[in-house]
Amino acid sequence: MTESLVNLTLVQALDGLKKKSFSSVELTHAYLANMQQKRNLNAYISETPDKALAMAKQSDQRRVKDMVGLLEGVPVAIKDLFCTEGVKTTAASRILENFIPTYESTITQNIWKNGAVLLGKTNLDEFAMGSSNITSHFGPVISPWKHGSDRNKKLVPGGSSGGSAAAVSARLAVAATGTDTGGSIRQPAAFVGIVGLKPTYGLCSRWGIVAFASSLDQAGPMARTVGDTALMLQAMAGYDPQDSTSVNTQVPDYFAALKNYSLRGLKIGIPKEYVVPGMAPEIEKLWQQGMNWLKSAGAEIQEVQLPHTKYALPTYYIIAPAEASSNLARYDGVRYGLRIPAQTLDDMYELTRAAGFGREVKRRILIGTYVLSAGYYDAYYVKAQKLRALILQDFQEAYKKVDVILTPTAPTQAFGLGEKMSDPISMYLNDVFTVPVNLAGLPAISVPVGLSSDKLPLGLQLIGKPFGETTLLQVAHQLEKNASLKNDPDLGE
Amino acid sequence: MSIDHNTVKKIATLAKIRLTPEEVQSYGQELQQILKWIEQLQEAKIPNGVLPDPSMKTELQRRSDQVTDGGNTDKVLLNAPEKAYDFFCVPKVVE
Repeated sequence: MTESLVNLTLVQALDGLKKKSFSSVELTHAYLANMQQKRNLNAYISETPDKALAMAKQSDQRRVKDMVGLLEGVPVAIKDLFCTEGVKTTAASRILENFIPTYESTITQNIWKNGAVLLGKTNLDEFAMGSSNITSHFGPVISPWKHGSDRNKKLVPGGSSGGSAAAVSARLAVAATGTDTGGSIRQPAAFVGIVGLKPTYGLCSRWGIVAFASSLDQAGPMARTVGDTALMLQAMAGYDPQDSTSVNTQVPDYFAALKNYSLRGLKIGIPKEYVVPGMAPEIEKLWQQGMNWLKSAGAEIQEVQLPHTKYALPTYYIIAPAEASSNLARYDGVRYGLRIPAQTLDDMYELTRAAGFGREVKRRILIGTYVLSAGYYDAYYVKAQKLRALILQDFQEAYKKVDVILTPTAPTQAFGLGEKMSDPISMYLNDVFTVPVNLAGLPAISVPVGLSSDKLPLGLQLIGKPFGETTLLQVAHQLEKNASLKNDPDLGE
Repeated sequence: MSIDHNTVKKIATLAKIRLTPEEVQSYGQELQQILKWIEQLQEAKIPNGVLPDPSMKTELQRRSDQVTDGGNTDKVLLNAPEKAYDFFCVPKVVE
């Protein structure tokens, strides 16, 4: 019973709760037990079992009164970058190791309003800076997936939302929240065989999320199926006056849009610039497979040009660190977080930040400070902002011809813990397909579509027009149907 | 673009991060490597008249200038590393 409960998708769990096959308390117990059993994955920084059971109990009471939200009674995990009132929020950094927010982020407020239950706060790369979850102060997350020919090899779940990805994949949460600044939802989703959606910039409120690069950061859902993802997004999205970049738009019924749709005549763009050196041949093959599936469903495949793609990564690695260096200036040991006592104020700042930030975070703050400093601002920062404009223009031109763009999510399958560590750039290159989307503020989704010859999940990415989440989910749903994967790391399939 | 140790020290001072001499050395190498990689942007041709990121042009929405909360001194000070009375404490600044 317990085991089968954690294998239910969000949609199935809601159905079971509705039919009173089990209660939210029972469902929550099943997840708490599984979390305890799989602590070796290090997916959670904080588990909140008492809060979870209290919330589940309240949900069961609401159910009796027929007061049900979109996610009523469903236990979820929250990336430890979202402030949760009274629950430690660390951003996986030593500098926030003991930080207890006195307020709740808008996204989590929306999720609780819809009846969900908090299982705990998931691990991530420190301040969401990373693509493998190895920069966390609380240790790396281990992927629940095993390499086909080397079952003892520990694999990364991707990053930065690696804890959320591992938790959803290993059945330690029904669904989870992530944040995506350069691929941090989509790349880990692809690495562990789940669905991850980065919404259009402005669809989900950033209020109460620990900021990394504010013009790129977006919160989004991670779940086991496209339908689950649609429901999560619906609960999360919405206008928030507390976020000055929040867009006041009607949130459509994403889930209902999956019941009946046709891809006939839909134009799918294939950017030839996304064929990059070093891309695994089986990923290229899978990309072709995806095109064929969509063609069979009535869509038209068309080549598009995104000529500035090759500049996206270096552009990103100017803009994101520049914004990070400014955002992270607030961690100074004065009002909250770690403080290293010293005789002078400057010494206190410098020693606190030296002890509180990890290596990757310091590296990015230093780069950001450099590109913003006098004499380099025009050569780096302004140039990068202009290239960002050109990258957006590329997409706008492409969307005059096509409705959705199909690409791989990442150029490789999940790699081993400790690989790609020799130099920072080889790690940065893993985000080559995801970063342009953030620079252009567009929505994109990663869908698991196959397994590599090493029996590891591979994902395809769909990029949409601004606020084109409904179409993205529909095309993703089609790919999911065609791929018909079990996405169960325990089964290895 | 070369980045010498004095530049690393200057950036670290601006960023208020204390570095050990070994770190000045190692970050120097890493920053050099990253900046060299970023340098490829210099070859990008940017047509005349391209403005920096157009999304920055849209005016941010503003809330009305009103007091919406207050009297939360305890909450504000809850995470303070050091506090006295209703204030944050820091090392002495003025002699």
